[in-house]
Amino acid sequence: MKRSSWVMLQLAVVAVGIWFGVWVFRAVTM
Amino acid sequence: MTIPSAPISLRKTAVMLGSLALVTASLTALFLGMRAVMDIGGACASGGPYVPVRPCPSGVPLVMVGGIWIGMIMAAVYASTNAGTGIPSFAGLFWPGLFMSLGWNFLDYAFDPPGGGGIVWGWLIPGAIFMAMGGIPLAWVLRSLGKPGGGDVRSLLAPPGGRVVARMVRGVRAGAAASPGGGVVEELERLDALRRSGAVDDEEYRLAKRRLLGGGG
Repeated sequence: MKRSSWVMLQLAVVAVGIWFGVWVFRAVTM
Repeated sequence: MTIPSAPISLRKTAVMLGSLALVTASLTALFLGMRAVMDIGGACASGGPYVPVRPCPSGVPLVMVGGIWIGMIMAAVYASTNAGTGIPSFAGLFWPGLFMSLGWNFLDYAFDPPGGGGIVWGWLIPGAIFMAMGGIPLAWVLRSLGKPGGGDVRSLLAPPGGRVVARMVRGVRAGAAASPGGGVVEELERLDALRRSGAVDDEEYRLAKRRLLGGGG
């Protein structure tokens, strides 16, 4: 796999992580 | 450019990406948790024998403590699974991400405090410190990205002093590679083994060692 593909894949994972963090925060604090 | 290193297993890839997602989720939760606390004045308390004046917003202490621990553990998991694979590492961004996001909160609330009024210096100063703590390593990380091998975890995570150690290790490795019969270290180890077995006496050992280390004699 290309180096740039790894970077893009990991950036997508970071985006999912941010969404998940917001979801967890809302779930725990509501 | 393709990654030249050994292929990474699917399981290891899943662990690496999962830990990256959890690090990001932890940083996000810490960012939001800090904002929730700052919304009520910047401090809160839960439990204890007294009734706190400002109880914490429900669930926030759990989020903060959980975020710190899960984030640290997952950062270590990510760095260890990524190391040596040749896959570009995001590990060098964790520290700047933590400090600059929290620093942003301090600055944001310092200039625009929830209760109104002027600049809150008690938040402005930590904000500036946090931004520097995150920004200086970030500049360093970004600068190293363009260099060959700059994307790898060792160069991203190593503190400046680590470069000297890395250079020494490279030197020893190069020395070992240059002498096909084994490096000086191996020779010294072999010599020491001979002395311990009694095949070489102390005087001979000293002499051979001096010769090995290039001291002549």
